[in-house]
Amino acid sequence: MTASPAWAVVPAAALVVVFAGAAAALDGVLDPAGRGRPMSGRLGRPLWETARLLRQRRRTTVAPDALLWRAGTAGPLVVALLMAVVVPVGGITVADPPVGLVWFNALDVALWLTVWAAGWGANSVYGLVSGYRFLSQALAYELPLMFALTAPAVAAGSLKIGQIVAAQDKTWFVVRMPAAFLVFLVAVAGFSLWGPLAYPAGRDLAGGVLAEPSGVDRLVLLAGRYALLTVGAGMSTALFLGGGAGPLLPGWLWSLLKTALVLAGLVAVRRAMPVLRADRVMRLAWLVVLPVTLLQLLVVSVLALGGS
Amino acid sequence: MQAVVNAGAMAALAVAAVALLYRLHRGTAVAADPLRAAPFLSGNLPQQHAMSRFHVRWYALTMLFLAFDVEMLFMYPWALVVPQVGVKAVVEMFAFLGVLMAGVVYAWREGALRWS
Amino acid sequence: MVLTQLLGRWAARRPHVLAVAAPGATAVRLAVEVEMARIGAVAATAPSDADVLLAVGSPGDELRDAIDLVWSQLPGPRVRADIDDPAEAGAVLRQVVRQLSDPQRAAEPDRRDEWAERAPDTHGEDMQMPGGLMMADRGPDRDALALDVLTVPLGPVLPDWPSGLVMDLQVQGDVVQQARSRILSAATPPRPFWDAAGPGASRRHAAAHLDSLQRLLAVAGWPGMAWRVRRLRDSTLTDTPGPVLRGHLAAIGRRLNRSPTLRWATDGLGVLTAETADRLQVSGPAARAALEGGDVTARWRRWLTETDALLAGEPAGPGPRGRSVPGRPASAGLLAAADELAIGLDLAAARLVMASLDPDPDQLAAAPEPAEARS
Repeated sequence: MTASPAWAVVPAAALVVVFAGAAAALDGVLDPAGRGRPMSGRLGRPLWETARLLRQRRRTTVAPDALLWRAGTAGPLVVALLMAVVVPVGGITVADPPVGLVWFNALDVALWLTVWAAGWGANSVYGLVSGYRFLSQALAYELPLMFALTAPAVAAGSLKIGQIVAAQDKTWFVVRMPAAFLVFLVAVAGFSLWGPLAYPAGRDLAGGVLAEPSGVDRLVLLAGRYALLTVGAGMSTALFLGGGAGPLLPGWLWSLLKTALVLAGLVAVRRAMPVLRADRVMRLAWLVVLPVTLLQLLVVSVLALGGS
Repeated sequence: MQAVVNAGAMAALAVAAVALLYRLHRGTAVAADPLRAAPFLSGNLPQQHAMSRFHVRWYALTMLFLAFDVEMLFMYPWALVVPQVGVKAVVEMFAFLGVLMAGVVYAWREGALRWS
Repeated sequence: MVLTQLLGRWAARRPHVLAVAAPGATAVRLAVEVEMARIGAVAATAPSDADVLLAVGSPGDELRDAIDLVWSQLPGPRVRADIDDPAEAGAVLRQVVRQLSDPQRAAEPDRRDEWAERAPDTHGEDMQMPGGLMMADRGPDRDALALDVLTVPLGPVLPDWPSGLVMDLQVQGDVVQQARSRILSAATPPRPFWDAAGPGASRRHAAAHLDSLQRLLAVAGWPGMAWRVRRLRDSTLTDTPGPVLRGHLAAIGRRLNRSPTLRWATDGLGVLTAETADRLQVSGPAARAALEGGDVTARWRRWLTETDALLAGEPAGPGPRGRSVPGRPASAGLLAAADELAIGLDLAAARLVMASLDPDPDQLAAAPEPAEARS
């Protein structure tokens, strides 16, 4: 994996934005409410929505915690872009530090603060309750996510994303650790407030953390959600799907194709089931998912012993 | 070192992109200043500030989470040395995790995993 | 300026509409929902999300005040309209969207600071009460802790919520400590839309159950499935043949029954026992579900079963919500049950329970004294 000059952040960020926009377009296409309408109108949904929010006035509430609120709404987008730094595309990456995996993990924990702040800052009951909803949801997905991240690290003997990708030259890690792969995808939906894990942005509380922001504030928050889904899909490609490995096509194209496929799956799952409430899934998360992930890690560790 | 520089460059770019978007919005929005309005409360005026001492009913779980979270500090360095240290590393780590899981089972029996 | 015009055109491709229905306006609400789908409009979740505010039906004074307050919370560009006739829904919506993309109208340069006019009097105690609002008071909790209590009304303006219903809640954290529901009146006493009698009654009652089901699914956070049920509801009110409708219903029922995640959301929640149903004079599907477990799951299953029977030609019962007696409509018992069952639940669960009982605001607003038989 080659390190890149600092200007590489510009194409990397652009790539995230393009994929996030494509995910939003796909969501528009899959929306049953659009069935029977012209495809151009459905594909263009991110354009219509962006235009709408750029035109819409911003709002402030009575005695908000303005700093926390604005930092919270912009936070997910910033976090997603910072995550993208360590996500490789083929053999290229913006940075491949020896602790790349820990960087990703640390940033996903930073979302605890930003989403909570986005809910709390507006001094609105629905937002406040939803900020805490995110924390309770995070308590359910975060530990399985951490152990799911550890599994590829143990198998590769490294926290460097480049080496984790390189260690999959024979078999992709998804073969050895399917449970970790699945847990990782669920956690990506969790920190992106997406689909069944959109509990903190619930329609039952007028959109939850989205109840108060309008205009550009809402735009950056919604864009952050899609950007998080995108880098999550990109990271899953690197950690479990062999990164840029594949026949005929160049590595960067394989990376992008796999990322697009995972991203499409994540977008599609939104229509498949209702929202999971944190209090209902907590026992499942701690008594089934967590032990299964640990068991997965044990299997991976024993295999790593045999492989040395 | 290049990694730190690049991460810093991305941070700067992200903040700049958000700032630029906000600047653009000032030009495209129907009014540049934010509207001051009461927080949405289903069509009612709020009687108090929403910011309050929130009853976090899953507080027992946060303790449990913290135990595992501290354990993660050991997990990352451990991941790098599994093949070198060998069986001992795996046995020790999973004995530790087993103790923590016993804590989870105890907390479950005590009802910490359900709160409504 | 070219950019502004382009943004205006693009924005109007997908207007977000907050439609607030008054009790008794069910027929208009259904027409508005159909027309919104036709022009590609989205149902907004909150005023921050809305471009258009629609007052549907003829709201009474209190509901009119709530709509005015929500109007002041729309950030703009914003357009407001009243619709009181199902036949005019399409025309009004199209006109409203045209106004939305008109740059002259959008700017509102003379818009006042409406909060300053509405803020409660501060009595010069700005230090304690920033913004003129009180801090939350404390009250005892079920764990014998003294905790902050917030007054949180749900309704009348809330997505997928019965028209004109207000549920006044006292919450600690997000747990309901006290609940009391009331219905805001309509300007003219409504005729309940779903309680049809005569030849078309079966169809009407089947559509009533489907309307309840789509609301429950929307509250449960399954908008795609809610949309399917809404489409089926609308076809049920046309002359689509019964077997076709039953085919669609069976497909939906299979999806719902096979969804473990829906079961996680509704199993064991809001159990209405047969005794409580009896005491509150609940009849209809909710009372029959009380004999089958009485939880939210039992109630939505009951809707599926009874809808299918009605579509198969079974004669209609006294009404989709059960038997009404003069002065006490069937929905009064459902509303009382929702208040009782909400205690100790969090807001999400309380909303699911309300949606699973789904009192009909048309009935409540039509009755002279809806809350009379309670306490």
